[in-house]
Amino acid sequence: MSISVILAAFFGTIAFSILYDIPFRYLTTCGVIGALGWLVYSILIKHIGNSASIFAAAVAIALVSRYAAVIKKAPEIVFLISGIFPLVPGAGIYWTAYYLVSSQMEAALSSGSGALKTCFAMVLGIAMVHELPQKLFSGIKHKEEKHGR
Amino acid sequence: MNTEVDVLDTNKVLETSMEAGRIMLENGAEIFRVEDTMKRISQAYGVKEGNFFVLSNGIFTTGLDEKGNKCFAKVEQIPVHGADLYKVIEINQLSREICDGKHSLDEARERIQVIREGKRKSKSLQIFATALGAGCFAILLEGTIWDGISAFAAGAVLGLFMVFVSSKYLSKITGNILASALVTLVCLFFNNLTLFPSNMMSMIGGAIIPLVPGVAFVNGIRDIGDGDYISGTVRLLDSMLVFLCIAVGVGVVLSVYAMITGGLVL
Repeated sequence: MSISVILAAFFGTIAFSILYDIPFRYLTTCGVIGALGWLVYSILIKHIGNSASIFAAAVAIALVSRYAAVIKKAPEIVFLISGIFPLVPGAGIYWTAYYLVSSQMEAALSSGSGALKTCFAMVLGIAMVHELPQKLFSGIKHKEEKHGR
Repeated sequence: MNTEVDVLDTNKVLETSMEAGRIMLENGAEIFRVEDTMKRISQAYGVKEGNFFVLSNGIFTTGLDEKGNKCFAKVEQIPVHGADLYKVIEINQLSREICDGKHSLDEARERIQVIREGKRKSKSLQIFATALGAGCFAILLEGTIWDGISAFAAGAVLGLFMVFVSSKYLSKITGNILASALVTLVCLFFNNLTLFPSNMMSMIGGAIIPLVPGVAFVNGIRDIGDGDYISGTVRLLDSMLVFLCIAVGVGVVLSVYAMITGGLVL
């Protein structure tokens, strides 16, 4: 894995944040979260399976997004949507549909189940972080503020 | 006499919170956030008994006045729309300020109106972002730098098409089919130039990514995770339709190409 891939994740996330009309002041954060998620995913995928690494990356993204939401005072979804975008199996679902359209059923089945697993891993990751109490995140912020002052 | 004023006020408060909820829902907020924001705004202005039921394409509101009489009921149908997270952020910020008691009701209504009419980012920036996103994702999908550059070009064409043609004149279905067909044509062109070894799969995969309804998809997943099954399913279905349209556009072009040249590209 080279630096160019991480850069691609960074700028790709920023590009989509612009398309979703996220204000400029949040763009860098979005890009960093997107790149971080991709970094976690691409490091782990060599050691554990695809679904597990997607899960880990989703957890990392959701955690950092909640933290960023407190720091930047914006809804968490701003960072979550843009950050998780590189992991969304957009291409996977699209290839499934393409194989279906061109009646290559076996290929459709394999890429379709892969995309489904990826979705499920993402849901689990996001949902688990969502369960954590908000105190955990605002707590971090208070500490930092005291530290800063 | 006094009660009449109260009723009017309750109506006004609930109208305001409904308008705020409408903007959030239209522009890609999760269901629970819309409900939460509406509840907070109406409580901040003293309406204790407001009930909100939000679906992916509608908001149902009823309110009671202080004596417990029904005084407000409204259903609003909201079409499935694009994603403009800027407006979600602004309304969210506004609702925080309202909870802190910073705005009178009329001020809040004015702010909501301003947010509603807010402009999107400039067209040239949107086109550039489409191209950049396509290029970057081609690289993420195991493409080379060259695939990235071709996808960037295809993305630029796609951006022009989306901004000037499909968003103005075409429906979602035709727009996506034509846009993905166009992108495939550009990718085929670069593939046939053979200036460098190219990977059609990463090239097309990256170039169609700007069409992928990421917000609807992630929101659908989140809504299902929150237990809002109806809305989540609708949003997922909406994104599946787009995926299918993209696949049809790409598939038709590639099979026509295969018929003409007599060889499968993929």
